Amino acid sequence: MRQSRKKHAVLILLLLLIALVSTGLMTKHSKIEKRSRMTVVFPKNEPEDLSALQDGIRDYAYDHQVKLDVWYKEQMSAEELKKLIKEEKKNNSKGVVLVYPENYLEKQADGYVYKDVLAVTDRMQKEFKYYASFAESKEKAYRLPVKTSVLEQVKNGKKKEILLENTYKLGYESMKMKTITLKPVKLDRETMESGKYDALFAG
Amino acid sequence: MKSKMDKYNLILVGLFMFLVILTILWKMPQKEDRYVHVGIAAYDLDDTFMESYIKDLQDKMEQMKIEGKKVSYEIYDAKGSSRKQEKQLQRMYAQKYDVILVNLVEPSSAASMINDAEDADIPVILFNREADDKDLKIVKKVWYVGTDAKAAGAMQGEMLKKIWEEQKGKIDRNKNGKLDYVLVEGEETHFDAIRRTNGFLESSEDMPMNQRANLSADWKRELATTKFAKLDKEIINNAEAVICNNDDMALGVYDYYKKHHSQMPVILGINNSPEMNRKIMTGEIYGTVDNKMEDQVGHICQLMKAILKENTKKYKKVWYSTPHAITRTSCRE
Repeated sequence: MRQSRKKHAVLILLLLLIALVSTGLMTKHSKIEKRSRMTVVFPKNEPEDLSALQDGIRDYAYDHQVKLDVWYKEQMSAEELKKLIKEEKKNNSKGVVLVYPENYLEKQADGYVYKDVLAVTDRMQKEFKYYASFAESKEKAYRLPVKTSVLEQVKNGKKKEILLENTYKLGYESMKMKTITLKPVKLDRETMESGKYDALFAG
Repeated sequence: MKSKMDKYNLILVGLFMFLVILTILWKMPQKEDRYVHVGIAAYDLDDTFMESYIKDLQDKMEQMKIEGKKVSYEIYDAKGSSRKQEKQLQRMYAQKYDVILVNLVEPSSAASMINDAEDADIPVILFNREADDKDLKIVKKVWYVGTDAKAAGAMQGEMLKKIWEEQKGKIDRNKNGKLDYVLVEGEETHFDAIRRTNGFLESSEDMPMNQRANLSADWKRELATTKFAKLDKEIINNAEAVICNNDDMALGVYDYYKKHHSQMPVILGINNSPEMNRKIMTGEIYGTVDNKMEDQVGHICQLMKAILKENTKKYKKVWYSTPHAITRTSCRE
């Protein structure tokens, strides 16, 4: 009888401990980051204004709960790129986006065929399996952010229309890690007055 | 009866095993991030001083390892727009950086920014654009690194006093026995602009100063040239000194005189930017105040390490670098 009571006490104690440990485990699980991770490499000391492109990348990360590992590079060899990809994989990165690698990455004669790398590029489409770039246009195209003076000229009719390369969209789409070629869009007075691009011009 | 007891024992053993497995899962270490993540918000990278500051910070962080981890940093340029910076800060909180370094567009809005960072559980190091003391006391995990704005302004006064005493005959071109000067300030409501100006005015109190004009050029070179050109020509021609709250505006005033081939007054700035330094060394501009940017960057990196090691006891909430007067003579000495 006494032994049975002891066993009951042990059973209750075990059940209580299981409840306690389970709570701890669940709390730990809820704290574990559920976000995915991606890597972005920007050119260091880039004189061109990349702010709209960066906004696109950041908005994608914000909308899709992506944690970014960001690096700035002045120079990078093919070996260093390989090493970076390896390290990023160890850090659970789902892919690497190289922003304008023509400004820091040495060209390879046999090209790059890395599966998990996408290049946002104007001149290195042939070197990468996946890339994001603009389609070539015969007329001069303006890139975001467009100067206020140019926008004013479209608004007051001095310029009938301009071709606009939407770098914000290029940045956003590049994070999907699929090859994309964006066509420049025509921007005239009517489109401007429609307010379609207001958010982009507001910077 | 015995078989019943055996079953009971089996259940107890099973439960015990289950408890052991749960405990192991609970205590198993999580997969750690291989990098330290830092977000850097800059008010405007078109400001040459801020551009150099951030470049220096980048170089230092690329050399750094904190507890064996490399630092992955991201720079957000607000281009002088508080609205843009507000959006960028929201993105930064979502990235859950280990620490954020913030150079505010509007230092007067520090309180709400500090509270938001606290809610996101991210420590903040404010730098270069000083917030109000009481805002820094709102939460524990916020620090300020910058320069003593009042001391920098006072140093301008001391430099002016020195040249006035040494070359009064040459400087007092209209021979009225007074030092006719124009004051060019940063943003009107900016704490640093106010403190720099106050420091200058207080330290030059005992001099025969005659302020001919006062304008605000928002720290910007082109704006300083434009606004300076709008002053009365008599004021411009008779200005014996132009005191500016920073180097960019001083260079803007220099551009005006250079363009009009007029006699250069004594021009004083603050920051010791590379271009300003070159012009001081060639004798075209009189002087500036070195804010010791490298010391500030060094302190930010040390503080960042301490924050991540949760050992910030020896760090004060506010840290100033010691400003240093730069003239052609002082550099030769």
